[in-house]
Amino acid sequence: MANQDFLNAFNDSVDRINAGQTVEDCMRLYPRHAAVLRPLLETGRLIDRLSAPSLEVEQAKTRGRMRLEEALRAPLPQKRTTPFRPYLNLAAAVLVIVFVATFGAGNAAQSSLPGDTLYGLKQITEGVQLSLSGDPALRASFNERRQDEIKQILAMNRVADVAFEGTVTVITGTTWLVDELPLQVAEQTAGAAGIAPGDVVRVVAATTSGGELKASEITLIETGDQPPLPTPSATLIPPSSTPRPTETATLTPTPSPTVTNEPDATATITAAPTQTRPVVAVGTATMTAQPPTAVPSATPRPTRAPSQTPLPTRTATLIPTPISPTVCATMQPSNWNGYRVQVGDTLSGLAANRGITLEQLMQINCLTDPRFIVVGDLLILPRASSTATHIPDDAGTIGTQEDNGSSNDNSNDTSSDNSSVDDNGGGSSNDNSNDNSGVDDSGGTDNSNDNSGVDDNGGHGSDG
Amino acid sequence: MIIIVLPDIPAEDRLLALARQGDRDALMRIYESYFAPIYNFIRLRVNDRDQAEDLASEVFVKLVESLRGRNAPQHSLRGWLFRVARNQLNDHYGRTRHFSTEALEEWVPASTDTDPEVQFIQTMSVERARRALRLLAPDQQEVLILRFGQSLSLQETADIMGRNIAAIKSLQFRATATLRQVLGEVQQEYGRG
Repeated sequence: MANQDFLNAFNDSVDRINAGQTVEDCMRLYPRHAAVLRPLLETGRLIDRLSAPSLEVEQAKTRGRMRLEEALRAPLPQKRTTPFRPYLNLAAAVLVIVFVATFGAGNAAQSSLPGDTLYGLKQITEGVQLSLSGDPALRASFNERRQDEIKQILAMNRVADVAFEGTVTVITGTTWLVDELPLQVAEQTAGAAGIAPGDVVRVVAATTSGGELKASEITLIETGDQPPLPTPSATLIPPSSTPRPTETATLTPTPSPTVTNEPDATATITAAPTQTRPVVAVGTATMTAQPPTAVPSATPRPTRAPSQTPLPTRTATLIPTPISPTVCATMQPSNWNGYRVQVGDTLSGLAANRGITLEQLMQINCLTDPRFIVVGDLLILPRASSTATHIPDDAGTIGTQEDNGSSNDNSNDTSSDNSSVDDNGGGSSNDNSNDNSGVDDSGGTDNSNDNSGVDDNGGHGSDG
Repeated sequence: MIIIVLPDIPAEDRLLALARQGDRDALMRIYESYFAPIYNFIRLRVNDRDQAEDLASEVFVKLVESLRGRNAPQHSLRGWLFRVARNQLNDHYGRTRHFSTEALEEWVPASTDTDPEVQFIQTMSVERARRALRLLAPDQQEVLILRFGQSLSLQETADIMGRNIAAIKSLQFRATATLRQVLGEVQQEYGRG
């Protein structure tokens, strides 16, 4: 029953319908199979209407987004060591053995504590990881680990030299609280003078057999009255929030400033305006809570469209909350003109065709998602060098003239695989009949043809 | 107007590359773009709304995990997501075993028509189709949802389902023909009831 010719015709028809053509178009193309093809295509098109109600999808999406953000917050898995390769030559093999031995021991060292034999190695491997990655989050995670270790050592009443970073939260006499760690600071302790609560410090200390932590040297990293950076040790959080405050800050997956007091660190903050988690808002409200709109500060704000940074990822429009994507205003460079999106067009295809980058195209046209184009939309593109059939700048009407133009464009401009779409479009079926068949509310007369046998107009908006 | 979602491969690959580098924006953008298709794909085959939601969001959690590991997808992100969704569904069936085809719950499409009569007819017909779809074999359901519902290409569908193109060509025909037939039966059933 199903010969190959028919299977191909059916498959081709499905492709055409997916590309926006009508059942009628397919009938004209395959008159021989029309009788069998039509009911099948109409049946298949029913599936298209079965997408879930958009409200339901939105609700699911919102909850799913929370789960996703949770997953993003989960700690990174431990880095694996390089696998041993047996086919290396002898000299290299020796090196590799040393390497593996080092890292193997490094792994064993990961569970060591200050005072253990392997602990120095642990710090060295961490230092290597840190300098390799330069990742502030990693740095914060190491610091967090350090503080955890110190707590363990204190609990075990072990004697060891330790060093860590943190924010001074309380100073009462000789007892300080740095993050969550109680620290004994004698008056003569180096660097202790002048430190006030709120300061971020680096502490060199020793644990005692009595379970105390005695400072031997304190270095000021950053004073508390500065505009606080979102430091990895999350001391900006009210003390009551979590027992392990460092957790929140290690999560920041995008580049965030390090604890060190390099002034350029502020430049990197603005590159990640999406971190609008309320927990951190205490300290970073000035940097994160503002929508990245028209602040004329020296630091570049990502969503300013006319800037010369063309990366579309900076627009941050997908973040649900307060960022407004409407800052963009379409502008038309001098030698660009209007172009109506046709079936089969893709933005990157158009960009390549006109010799511009996708970013430029999106920027000029204020687009945020390169995958969604609406057929019939007016885009602004550089004047094509070869063809003269484009819509003039003031194109505001949709008419047969445009359709003629567009079929020319297809053959000339788009080398995509959908270029055959309009080949047979010809006289009777103009674009409007295509359009109506996909969307229900306009209820054009063509629908009666397409949907015969099925519920007419049975529509939900198949807007996905 | 038709909103066309074409697989703009260069843009998708670029987004994926950024996400692999840990770009959170890129990841969220992927999520916003693909959640609805993935959810719909799952929802058509899973009765329970909460379960569908869990399975769909799990797909993206898996993406996050894979981006952190070594087996991150390098290209054809959409296919990867659908493949993971499909595996989730298979696992799901494996766990629950029974798969109810009953329950015609409130699957009412957003209608612009305020006429209750028209709304009723629309609802009935959509429910009928949905119910008919559930009566098909799993691979037939899949091919219909991917090819017609998600407008995926033959090649993409073949990749996702792990079959060759010729097999999908004939499967999609059989699936459509079977659905047509089942629809007639469901219609009769409705007519009697």
